[in-house]
Amino acid sequence: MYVVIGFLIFVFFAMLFIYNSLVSYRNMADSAASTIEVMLKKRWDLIPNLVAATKGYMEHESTVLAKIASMRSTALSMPLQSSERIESEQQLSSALSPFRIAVESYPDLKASDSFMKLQGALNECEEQISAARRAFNAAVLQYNNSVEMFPHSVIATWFDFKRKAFFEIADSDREVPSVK
Amino acid sequence: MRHRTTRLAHGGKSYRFDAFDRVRQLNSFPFSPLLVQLEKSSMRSIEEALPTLKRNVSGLESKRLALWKTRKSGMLWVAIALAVGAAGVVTGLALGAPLFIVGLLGVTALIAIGLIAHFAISLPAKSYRTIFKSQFIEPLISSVAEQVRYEPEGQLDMLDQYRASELFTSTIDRYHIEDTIYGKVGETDLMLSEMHTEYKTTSTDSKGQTTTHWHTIFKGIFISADFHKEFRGSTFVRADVAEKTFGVMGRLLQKPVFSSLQLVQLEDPDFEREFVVKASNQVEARFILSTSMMQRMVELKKKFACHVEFSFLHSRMFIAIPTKKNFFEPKLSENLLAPGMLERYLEEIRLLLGVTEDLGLNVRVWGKQ
Repeated sequence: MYVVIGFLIFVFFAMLFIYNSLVSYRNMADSAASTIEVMLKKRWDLIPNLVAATKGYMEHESTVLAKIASMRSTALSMPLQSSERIESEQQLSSALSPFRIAVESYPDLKASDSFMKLQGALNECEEQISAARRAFNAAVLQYNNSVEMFPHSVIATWFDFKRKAFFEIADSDREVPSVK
Repeated sequence: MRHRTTRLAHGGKSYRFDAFDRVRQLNSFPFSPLLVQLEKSSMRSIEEALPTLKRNVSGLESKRLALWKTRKSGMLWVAIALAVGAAGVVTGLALGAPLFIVGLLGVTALIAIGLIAHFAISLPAKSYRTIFKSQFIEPLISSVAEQVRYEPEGQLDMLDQYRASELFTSTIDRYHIEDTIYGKVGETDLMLSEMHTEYKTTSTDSKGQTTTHWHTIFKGIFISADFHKEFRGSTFVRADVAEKTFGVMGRLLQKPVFSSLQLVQLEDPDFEREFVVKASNQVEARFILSTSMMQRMVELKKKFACHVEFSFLHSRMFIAIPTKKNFFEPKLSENLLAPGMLERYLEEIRLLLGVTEDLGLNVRVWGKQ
């Protein structure tokens, strides 16, 4: 009798531990996702300044960027991993590409302190997005492993813990061009 | 490293130190007097520096020869004094001379040997070491990187940097610092030194005799460099002994207990095999440790072939390289004009100063000004 009670107490505490660890992993992933959201928003916030700083030099690129910037509120209102959101973030990434290499093609810009600062801020922002994305994916990997591995998988099924998707967006881990 | 040590005032524990103020000073403009701001930047190629240096070395070589000659004759005189003293003592004893006379002869010979050894053997070596460092190593360093300065003897600021790094938590009871290089390499301000820090323990035996034991905390090259990205938290990259020894099970041992730091697991398998990362913020750790930075750190570890450890705090990067190699030490017997001599020391300098390039610290494309 005591053995059975002891076993049941053990099972209860084991379940409690597993459930709490699953919640903790899920929260870690959600927290990392919110960091990506913050960083992406920060990037959108930089665009009007970038358009203003480059208007006189890069007419075409600035117009494209301004057009994309108008989608800011719509883009940010969409869920982080929706295909529309990913598409708009990718559009923004590709529109930003010319600005990364602008210094070489537009010597006047190179002399512009405000542009150089903006470019630095943009690069930093991209690097932070990349870091946040990597942190999110690491958290999701840990969470998914827990959801699928025994005995966590049993508790995960009972309490409806579902696998999370990794965050895929335009790769910003590329080599950042030198501004020298 | 020479075994000249400097005791910390008040046994180390009451040493006044405000690491944060010092680091803030280093990061602000103007830099501390140590970090000299000059116009030109970056390291020159060896080929560019060689012709001028080779000319300067000729003068130093004649000084070396003179000192070497003094030392050689000193060794000869020591041998003669030893032989004369020994012969005198033996003869005196054989002839039944009074013990007082024999003893006096022996002591006189020993004093003569001591004086000759000090003035004709030890002093030339010391003088050469001083001359070598000020007239050979210093111009050599300046010729490679114009914006850096070299101090052969200790530099107390390095101790502040060492403590600010938080890489070593043991209380320092004794330390020695030498060969400090500081200034700007490319876009990066940096300080590096050879350091040896120790703590002591005492034990008492059954007879009540107390013995002091000295234990090394760190011995090797310590580097403090301005990091090219702005960050606020703390990230520690340490040699991964647990995972290397116990494999996957070792990961369980890596988890910080009773600490505000979190274990950060990164994607690069080579990096994960070599290092364990603990940080105050997961995202910030990845911001610092970009994929390219991880590769560079693995390469740096291979280059020095020892357990290199890093910490990132106060927007600076600290690197502890526990190498046994003693940099910039001369040998009085070595001909400075011998082929490859200059290149050997140049390589040592480039190995140390090249850390900024190795880790890509000169790439300033981020927001940090």
